[in-house]
Amino acid sequence: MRSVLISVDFIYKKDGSLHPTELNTSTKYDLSLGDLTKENFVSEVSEFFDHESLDLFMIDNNLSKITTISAGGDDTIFRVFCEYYSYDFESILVGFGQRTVPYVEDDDSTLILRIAYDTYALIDDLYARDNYEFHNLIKDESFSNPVTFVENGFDTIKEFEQSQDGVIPNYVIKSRTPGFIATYYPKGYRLENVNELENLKKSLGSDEFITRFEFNSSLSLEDNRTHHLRTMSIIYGPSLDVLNLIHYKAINSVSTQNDLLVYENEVDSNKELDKLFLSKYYPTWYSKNGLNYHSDSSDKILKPDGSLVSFVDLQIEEEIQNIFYESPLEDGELQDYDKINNFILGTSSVKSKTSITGGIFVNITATNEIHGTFSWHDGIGNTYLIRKPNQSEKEVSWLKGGDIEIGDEVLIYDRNVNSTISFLVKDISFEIKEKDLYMISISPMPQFMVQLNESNSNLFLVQHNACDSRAGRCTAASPLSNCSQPTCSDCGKNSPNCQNCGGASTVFCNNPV
Amino acid sequence: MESNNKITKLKSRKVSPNQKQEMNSIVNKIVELIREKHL
Repeated sequence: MRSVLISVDFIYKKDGSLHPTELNTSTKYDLSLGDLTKENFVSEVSEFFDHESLDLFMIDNNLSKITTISAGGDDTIFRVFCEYYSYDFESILVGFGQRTVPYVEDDDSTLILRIAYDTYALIDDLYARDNYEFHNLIKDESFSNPVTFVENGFDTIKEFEQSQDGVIPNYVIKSRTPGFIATYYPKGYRLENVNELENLKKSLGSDEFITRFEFNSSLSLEDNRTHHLRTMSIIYGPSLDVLNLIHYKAINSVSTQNDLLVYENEVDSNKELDKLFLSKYYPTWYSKNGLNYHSDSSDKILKPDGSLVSFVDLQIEEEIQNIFYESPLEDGELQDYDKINNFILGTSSVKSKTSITGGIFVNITATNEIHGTFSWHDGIGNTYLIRKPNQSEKEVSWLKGGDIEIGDEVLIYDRNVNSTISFLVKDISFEIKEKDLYMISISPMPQFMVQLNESNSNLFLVQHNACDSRAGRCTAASPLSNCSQPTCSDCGKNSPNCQNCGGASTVFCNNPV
Repeated sequence: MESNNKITKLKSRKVSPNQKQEMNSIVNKIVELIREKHL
């Protein structure tokens, strides 16, 4: 039986009803499933995955196997479902960006589930690829919202509506089809009158569209953060029957009440909102991808001989100093501080180096009684050794830059005393910087040291590979050489290396440990 | 509750039965529209 997995995203309209913003195939879930196993399957997925319905569907249709066709192996949930319910499973991978899928022979006992884009499939090529077709399809339904496209003069924005509270956006321009420059859309606007709306319509290109910004003051926020709801459904058989399977709510990474955002102007002369400000209300490329770990091209990394090399000059296979804690830390997990100074210095080599431009940075000012005050910036996804004020002096944890707050202590390696010392965070702000950035992956040990400031040759931030994917269930606690048969689709993130790891995993698809 | 001034990785939460029902109903309608147009 042939089928395709589709996802539909929803947001709340002012009247409290849901509006479907788009339909996608080749869909991914924003769910962390890296450690999903047959043993923890039910406890981990039951809140959002109706696995019992899928099991019933398999039984009712005499199906004994699921074959997935997916880009990059985004099929973890179905693989583990099959393990749990004792169905056969086969995974067929297609490349990222591939527009067609390989032919798979249909048979009565197999559910062939496509989780990849196919340009020859009607749902994909019309309704998933082209927002004009999707909005035109639903335009007469109560759940549609006002939109304007250049194509055929399709315009259902009949009246101008002010921002609901004078602050939030009232209109958004989105791309009509995929393939646009990632940072360009969405563009948020706070228009003040109908003339500005008409001018925006006149300036509209054929591959973009205007949509009213949808917001309900009581339903659109959770913990002061906007969110979207997502459902995933299997469309199957010649009659396009529907099996709704996955439902969850994805919370925005930036709060509407974040008052540490730095930007030049909230709104420009065209009434377009700054991208960082817009990130409070609408997920942007920056708020979705700014959490990737990255380093400035001019940042300097410590080598085993004590010299420094900048990220821009760093070469593949170049040796760098690693630091391996005997009691390694997992993200967010509290650890005994005393063990932080129990480490082994060693040598790793660079396995990948990926460049990107631009991102959200955290600006940090921190002070130490002996060394004084330093200010620096880093990626909001970069991981730091942090002690929170409410933690005991004996406890530390790895935390992302975006999680750091005033009053936290950042632990910094002091080469002079061969130990970590504490800096108290005095100031924090967030800012988009259009800089050349690098993500690296080193192996075998993933932690490395980046010079804090050129004025002091002994102080280093302890950082680590961008991806703590634990692909193949590897953790620093079980050194990589002991990993058992990792598979590249296990990590559940986005990666050109481990297929899903953001470009800097410790494990590589073409060379698994 | 997450601090307002943290920029955190996008988090996922459970939806209510009513939200689930409303989403399913809309998805079913969308597929019905596709069926009407193409089958």
